[in-house]
This record gives sequence, structure tokens and C-alpha cells, in this order.
Amino acid sequence: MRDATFAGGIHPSYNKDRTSALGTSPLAAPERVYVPLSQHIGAPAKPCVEKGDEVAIGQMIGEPGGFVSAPIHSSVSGKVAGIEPRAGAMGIPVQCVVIENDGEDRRSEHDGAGDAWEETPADELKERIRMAGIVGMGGAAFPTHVKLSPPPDKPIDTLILNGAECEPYLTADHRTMLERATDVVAGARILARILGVARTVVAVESNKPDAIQALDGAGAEIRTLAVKYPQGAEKQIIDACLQRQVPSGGLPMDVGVVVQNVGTAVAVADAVIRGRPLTERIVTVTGDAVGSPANLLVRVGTPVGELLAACDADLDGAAKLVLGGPMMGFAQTTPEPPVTKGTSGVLLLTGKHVDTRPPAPCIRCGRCARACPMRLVPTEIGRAGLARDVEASRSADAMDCVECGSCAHDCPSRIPLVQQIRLAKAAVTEAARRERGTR
Amino acid sequence: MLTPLLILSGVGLVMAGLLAVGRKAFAVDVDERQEKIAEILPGANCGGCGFPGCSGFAAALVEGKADPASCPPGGPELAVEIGAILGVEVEAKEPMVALVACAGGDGESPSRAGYLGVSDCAAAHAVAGGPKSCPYGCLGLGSCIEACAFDAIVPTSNGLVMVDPEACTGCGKCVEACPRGIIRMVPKKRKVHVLCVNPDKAKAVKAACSVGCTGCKLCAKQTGAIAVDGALASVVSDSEEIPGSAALACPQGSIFDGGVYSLPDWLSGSEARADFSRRSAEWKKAEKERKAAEKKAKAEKAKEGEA
Repeated sequence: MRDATFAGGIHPSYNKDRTSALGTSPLAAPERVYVPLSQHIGAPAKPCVEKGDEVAIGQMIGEPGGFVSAPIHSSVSGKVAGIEPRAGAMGIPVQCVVIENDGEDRRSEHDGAGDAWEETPADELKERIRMAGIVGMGGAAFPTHVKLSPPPDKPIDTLILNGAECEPYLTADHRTMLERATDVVAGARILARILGVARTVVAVESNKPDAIQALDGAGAEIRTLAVKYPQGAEKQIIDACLQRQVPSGGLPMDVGVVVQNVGTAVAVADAVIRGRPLTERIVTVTGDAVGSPANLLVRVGTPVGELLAACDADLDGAAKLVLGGPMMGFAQTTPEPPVTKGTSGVLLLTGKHVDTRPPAPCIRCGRCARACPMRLVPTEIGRAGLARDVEASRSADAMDCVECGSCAHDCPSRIPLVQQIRLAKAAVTEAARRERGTR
Repeated sequence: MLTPLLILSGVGLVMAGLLAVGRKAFAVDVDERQEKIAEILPGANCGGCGFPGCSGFAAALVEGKADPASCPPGGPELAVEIGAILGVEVEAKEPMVALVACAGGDGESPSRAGYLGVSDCAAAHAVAGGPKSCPYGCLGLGSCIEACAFDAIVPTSNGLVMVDPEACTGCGKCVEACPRGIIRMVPKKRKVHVLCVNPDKAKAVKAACSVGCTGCKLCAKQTGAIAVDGALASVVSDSEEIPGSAALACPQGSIFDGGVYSLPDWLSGSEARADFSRRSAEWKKAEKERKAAEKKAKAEKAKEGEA
């Protein structure tokens, strides 16, 4: 069978070779962790500890702030030093629980369901996942229990486990699939039980044959995907695996599908079987300014600077620091932000990999439109965005843009198309808000 | 030969009659005052009055839905002229101009990262809170310049923008265009301004900018016209003249005194800043001496009383 894929997309340099063969190594817990209360999409968690409280690993320190929210747990044992704002991954300060690590690594005991999960009611499994603070670990950090609660009028027939890892440089999911194949499959079975689906597909790009072999050995149904960016985007992976198109403005559940990241499946297995909340994750630290790149198992709340120091990174000689992948990650101004549940990579690049030439005029070559996996015309939306033209933005389907960056990557004039499109999306959102307000 | 002539003349007469009747029957009643007003309006269609263009404003005026004094570019003179046409008494409004309340240029509030994206303030603000050290300060990319229909906003040499009060008509378009809300409307006659909008506490302000307001209240001790709300001072009243000492008392140099300096010099000139530091130091010294003398006099008086 040919490798499955979607229309559009690009072929960036993947640069995964430096880390794909490196086994995950745990990073020593820092003296202080800064655990952000908002690590997910939705309402921030409400702190439930105070300065001076003793906490243990896995103890809840933030309660969910609503349905679309997730609790936060301590990643070290020690004393709460305060709750204060600190630089976050988005450039603006976020509230963090600061915990002084006592180095004892005491764990707060939660009972896992063990092998009995197969008899546990689905609702109870879902509650375990919710209270373990599990969010999508591919980067967007959407609370997992929300995705597992489709309304009754949207029947789900297929669960797709996303192991595409199409972002260049990142190898965190690759290592997860290799090293924890059994847990990926166990997590997938738990998720499938909650959703009541008969079919689960693990989708992996063909450039990870060892991961495919490992998962195959663990008994998963594999769908091999062509190597192309953004193969791991939700709508594109559904299209590739099942030839179903999510309608404009719709969600995967509209076509009977739920997509979960492979790292999320492992977190689900840890939470349900072993009773362990999500307090650590695998982070790929790489880039040409990093001396010894690695896949690190990091406690949530560890400042990014500690990861760079551990990997022999040359921060002064670097031109750009990115959290996440190079395509959809966020550029940073300091190495202060803490690692969150959604931090899949830390990328430090020298000037050689950062194009600082100013944009040139559009030459109407159409490469952006060919690259767009959503079949939009990026320049058209971009123009509307610059002019804050709500009507033009709407008619060009600005809101369908998934901000994958394929258009800007392939643009020979280096036009920051995604940034322009974001202006269009902001204008449409603002107009919609106003329209709702006046009605 | 005669027949076609008669037919044509007949048709002509009938048509003329129809036109004459039609003109009466379907006449559109345009208030002649509306036409007169439309003629004297500036015609920039800036929208500063809140109506769609100058003709929209004229129509609203004759319907009594608009205030004759609400054309910012026209100012009070135009308001009086409109009043004369409408036959109403017009109260003269205080002319307002826009003010960019930030003096933290490249030297005072340096960039914390290079920014290579879209040259638009809202776009830059959306990227990690903007490239400037101060998350509230002027980004200088000129979204307000684009919005100004009167070319009244100009960039300075050190990464800020400045409103020319003489060219500004007070339409307020730039206030809407600024994603950080730095631009505000102030009375044209006001000479002293606090050029900072950072509401953070002293430590954060000092880390972000060397001329930011820390809310120390020293200015408010000099005049009642400046008040400190939270950790940010602002001019709140125009009923009294603000003394020069209010600006001189500011340890950060956040207050611009238009009576002494010109705005372009103040924003981009280190000379004006150096002169200010010198005057401020002199004033503080004099103030200290004055206070010491006062204290001494008080002590002597008390002594005399005892004796």
C-alpha cells in the first residue's frame, strides 16, 4: 500500500538525525521548579496550595478552573516558595507555583487501576484522565478529557493515534514510540474503551521504520504516512488515514474521529494503570547551537535555561531560541520560561539558520497556495489582514488557516504570511465578538 | 411634410408637460442649509464626528442629530459658522489634540529581541508581547501614522512617533489605531504631560525603561493637577497652571514640560535630557536648602517661644 497523505504540504529539511537515535535520559530535577497554572488551552487552574506548604510529586497544586481546563500537579517534592508571575512561553508573564525542591523525590500516593482498568466503567477512566491533568502533548495542550466527551449526536468510530511528528528537529514522539511501545498501545486501548470505538489506527511517518516495527510488535494497527509537513496536523492526518474531510469550522468529531498524540496515550496509561499524574515529559533539545543534543525526560516547571545548560548549548552565540518545533513553535526572548506539558522541543539556532533578510514584494508565483494543506490562498488572506478587511478575510476563509507555516516556508520573497493571516483572523474574531455583543 | 413636424412638436410638448409635473410631484426636499454646511466642512471625510463622512455629518446636523461643535478638524470657528447657518447658539469646545504618551525610545527602552515580522504595531504586539522591553511602550512601527488622514504623526529618529499638535485636527483615528492604547486626546493648550502609560510598580518599570513613571507621587506634591492612580501619574485637570517644578521633581524624567522644551527635542534629543537633568538637580538642591532653612527657622522660632 502506498504511504497515505494529503494534498498540499511541503518538504522542509527535517534535521532529526542528531537526536533520533539518542535514548531518553532523565534530566536532574532543578533546585526550583516554576509550575505554570495555565499549561493548557482553556481556563487556568486555581492554585490550591499556599506559600510554605509541603508538597510531594504528583500532589495537586492547581485545581481545574472549569470544564475546559486541567489540574496541575507538583513535579518535585519540597516546599512551596510562592505563587508569582514568571516569563511564559508566549512572551507574557504567567502565574507559576514556585516549589523549592528538597531532592527527596517523595511521591504522593495515588492508586492506579492496574490491570483492572478493562472492567472499570468508561466514565471512571475518563475522570482518572481528567484528574491526572492530561492534555494533548503534541503541542497545543488541549485538555484530553474534553476530546473524550463528544456529544451524543456525534458518534465516534475511529481513534487515530498521532505519531507523525512532522515538525522538523523534534524526536520526542519518535523516542516515546520506540521506548514505550507497550504503553502507547495500552493507552490507546484505554482511550478506545472510553470512546467505545472498534478501530484504532496508529499513524506514523515512514521515516521512523524502527518505531513502526516496535508498535507492530506491540500489536497496534499501523498506518504508514508519507513524509510531508504538516502530516501530523489533525485534519491532514484524518484525510490521509481515512480520506475524510473535516468541514470548515468543524472538528474531527464531525467526521467520527478523535485524534490523540502518542505521548498523550502514554500519559493516559501512566495515569490510569499506575495512578501517576502528568508531571514530566520528553523534550528534544537540539539545534546547531546545541553542543550535545538530547531527548530529555524533564520535570514540568524546569526553566528552559537548565535544559540548555545540560546540553552544552551556546546561548550567547545563538540567534534564535524556539520552544516547540521550528514551524509552529514560539520564539523566545529569554531562556527563563519553564517547560510545560506541551513543550515538545527546545531549539537553539545560530545565525546560519535564521534568515534576517527583509521580505521582498510578492512575485505571484503561487507557491504559497500550492503549499497550503487547507487549500487556501495565503496572499489573499494576508492582504485582507493587513487592511483589517473583515469581509475579505471571511470570503477568503481566513478562519480555516491552521497556521502551519507551510506558505511562509515556501515563499521565495520571505513574506511573513502567517503573521499577516493572524491579523485577518484577529479581525474576524473581533468582528464576530462585536456582532454577538450588539445582538 | 407637416404631419411629422406636428407629431414631433406634440410629443415634445407632452414630454415637457410630464417633466414639469414630475419635477413638482417627485421633488426631493433637500434642506438648503445642508448644502451650505457641506460646502464649508473640511471635506477630509475623517469620521471624527462619528458620522459617515462630511455629507453624512451635514445631513445629521440639519436633522438636529449632531452637535455643530463635533467636527474636530473644523474646530471652534467652523462650529460658529455652522451655528450661524442652523440659527443656533454654539458653545465653543476646547480644541483637543492627540498625544503619544510614551518617551521611551530605543535608548531608554531598548529592544529585547530582534523583530523581523510585519511592519504593523498590532502584529508586532501579538508576537510574544512585542519586541520592546516595555510591554506598554510605543513600538514605533507607525500604525497610527497610517491611520492619520492629516499627516500629523511623524516618526522620531529613535524609534518613537510624535503628533504635531499644529497639524493634528483631533479626529481621534490614531487613538483607535494604536494597539497599546498609548495615544490619548488632550486639550491643545495643555503644556505639561506625563509621557508614560506603564501601570506596573517601580521595579518592573525601571527594568523596562529609564524614563518610565514609577508612581512615586513627587510630582503630585507640586501640583493638584497631576494625580497618581496606582503606580502611574497623569494630568487630570486643566483648571490650574502646572508649575515647572512638577516636571523637575520627577526622578525619572517622565514628565514633559512644553513650556521649556519642544516635543521633538525632548523625545529624540539627548541635549534636552541633559539640560533637564542639570535643571532638575539644581532645583532639587535649592529645594533641599529651602527646606533646611525652613526647618532651621522653625526650630529658632520654637526656641524663642521657649525663652
